[in-house]
Amino acid sequence: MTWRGPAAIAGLLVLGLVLGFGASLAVAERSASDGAAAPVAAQSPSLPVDPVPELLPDPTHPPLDASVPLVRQSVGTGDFRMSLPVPEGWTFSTNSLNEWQWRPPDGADFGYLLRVEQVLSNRRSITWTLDNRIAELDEDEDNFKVVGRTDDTLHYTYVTSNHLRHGFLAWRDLTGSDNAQVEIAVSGRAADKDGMSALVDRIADGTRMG
Amino acid sequence: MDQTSDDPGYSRTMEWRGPAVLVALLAIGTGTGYAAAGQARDTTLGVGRAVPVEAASPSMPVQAPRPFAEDPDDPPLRPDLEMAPATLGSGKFEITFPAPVGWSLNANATNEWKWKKPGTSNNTYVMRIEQINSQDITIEDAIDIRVERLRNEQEDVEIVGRGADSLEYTYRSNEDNARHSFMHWLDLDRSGQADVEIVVHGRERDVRGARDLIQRVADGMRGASGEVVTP
Repeated sequence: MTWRGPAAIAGLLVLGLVLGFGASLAVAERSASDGAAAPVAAQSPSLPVDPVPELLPDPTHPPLDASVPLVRQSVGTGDFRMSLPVPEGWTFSTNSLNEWQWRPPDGADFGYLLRVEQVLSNRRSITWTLDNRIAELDEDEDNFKVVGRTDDTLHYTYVTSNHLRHGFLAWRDLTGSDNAQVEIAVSGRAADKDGMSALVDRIADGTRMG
Repeated sequence: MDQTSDDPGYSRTMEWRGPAVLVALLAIGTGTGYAAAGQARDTTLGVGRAVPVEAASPSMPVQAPRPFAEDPDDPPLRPDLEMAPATLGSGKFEITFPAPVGWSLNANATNEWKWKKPGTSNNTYVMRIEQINSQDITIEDAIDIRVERLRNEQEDVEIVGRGADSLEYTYRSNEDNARHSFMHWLDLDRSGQADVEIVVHGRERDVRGARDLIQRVADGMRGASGEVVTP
């Protein structure tokens, strides 16, 4: 009987150790306090959103006609001269050596306009240019949203001076350089969407170097 | 005298001492076991998803050293080149500036030109001037964009120096040559936007001449409005 006392004591200690170890493990597995604090996904709304400003009514002149007559015009210089079809009778202006603009003669503020830019000095692919433009617009414009995109076009909306604007962009590689060489941009009202979409395609498909 | 048999108080004390000792032993064992598990957990128990851990010895991926390609042995670009006025562009987009006498001019685009000394080898030195006003960006943004593109698209990029309107950097060219470049941006019409970007690329041995060339071209450049705006 003299060994039973110490044996019972040792047994109880071992039992206690096992119970304590198990309890600690169970607590640790349920605990969520390990590691550094990290951001969690937001809910309602799950993404940051711009407040939608009050929108003012657009000017009421007729929408851009999808079949507006086009005439051929040349821009650029030397080896980089380029010809393209542009709306007949629109007012032409030069924004820079490699960027040009056309507006309808009776164009009101917040109506529609066309801009064409030679972008070959950027030496960037159409994919890179399109992705980069989306990032720039997202940073620069209020309430920017992508409405649609293809491999070489982008349709988006944004708000400027309390007016909802639609923008259409198209890029073309005219000589097989694997880079974007020309950018065609038309912006206007929601009422001009169909006309702008058609105009961008017609100009992009009709632009030639030389 | 044997108190255990005679003292009834002693007997009652022993009745509760036995269970108390047992409870105490169990408590000690439980506490010690809990603590032991905690200690062990700090190093052995994995909770949650596996995540990468920091590497050690070496702590960073290492590549075998890549020697640069041998540079052409053309004479280095010297400072104090003879310069003469040059004009590019037209109308309100015309720019004038001092250009090296005898260098040849080639247009890269409607808005970009390249100067090179005739007869020099590739991967020596060259100057490029681009009108970038259609990009509608500030000089600070132009520098930021350039640095980001360099880091994303070139190897062994080191920004040697950045000023309010200038950048100096080195990088490994696509042909594995060590290149040393200088860039300068100008706002010629007080628009707040960068109008012109000037670049001189060269070898290490061309640094003195390249630095002198781009500084003289930038200092002497004027737009149609006849003035230059320094940030």
